[in-house]
Amino acid sequence: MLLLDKPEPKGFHPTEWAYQHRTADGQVLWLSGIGDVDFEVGSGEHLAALREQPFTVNALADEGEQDMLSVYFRAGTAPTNFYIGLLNSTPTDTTTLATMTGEPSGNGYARSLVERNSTGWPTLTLNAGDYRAVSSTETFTASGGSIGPVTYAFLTTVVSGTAGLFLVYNALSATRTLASGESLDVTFRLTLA
Amino acid sequence: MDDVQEITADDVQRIEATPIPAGYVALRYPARYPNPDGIGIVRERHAATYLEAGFRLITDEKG
Repeated sequence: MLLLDKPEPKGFHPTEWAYQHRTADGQVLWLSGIGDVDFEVGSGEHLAALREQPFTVNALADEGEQDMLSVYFRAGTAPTNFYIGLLNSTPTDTTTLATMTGEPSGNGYARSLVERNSTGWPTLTLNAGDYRAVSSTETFTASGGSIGPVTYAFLTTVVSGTAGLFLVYNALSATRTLASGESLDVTFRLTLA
Repeated sequence: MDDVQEITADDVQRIEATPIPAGYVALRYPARYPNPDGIGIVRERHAATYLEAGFRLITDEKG
């Protein structure tokens, strides 16, 4: 079913993200939707928390809305790949790569590739009667210094710079700063309902 | 790419001194992209895409 009324929150219904902040030596420090934790990666507590972890609903930016409709219905040029980035600012629907602010730089930060294929989106399955695509889990790792603070993640079409589209954005639900050696795992999923 | 950056001895020294997770590699940004220290860490299996965009590989995978 294609929703004709605008869903709340705005976007495909819904597009969501989940985050995990962990240390270099395998301790999980924080899970979005759950809060601060102290688990070993892969422990029973950790796996149980991941099963319970809610995804946080995000928003499609205007450029993302336009591009998705253009590609699917008007045979517009599809992005070659997608990239996840981080921000320390609050985007809006009208934000573009040229107008966004607060993207980290240095200490190993780079927008993380999500291939536009079944590697970048390994899961496409029915979920509660509607189809859902789930991205690969991408990891940001600080090295030689900290990355952040960051408060938002975004999906874009370019590896760096501003010559691309600002597609989707999402609040991390808590400000995160990655100390050297720490990592932030990010997973994105999208459901059509 | 005419803006590919040369790998410097400082790049290598910094990467050797800092932790990079297994399965990840360090890349030097091309000149056209601003990044104060010029180094990004990405998945090893993604490296080819970054290299096509003008990044340079600083090290192989480090554990």
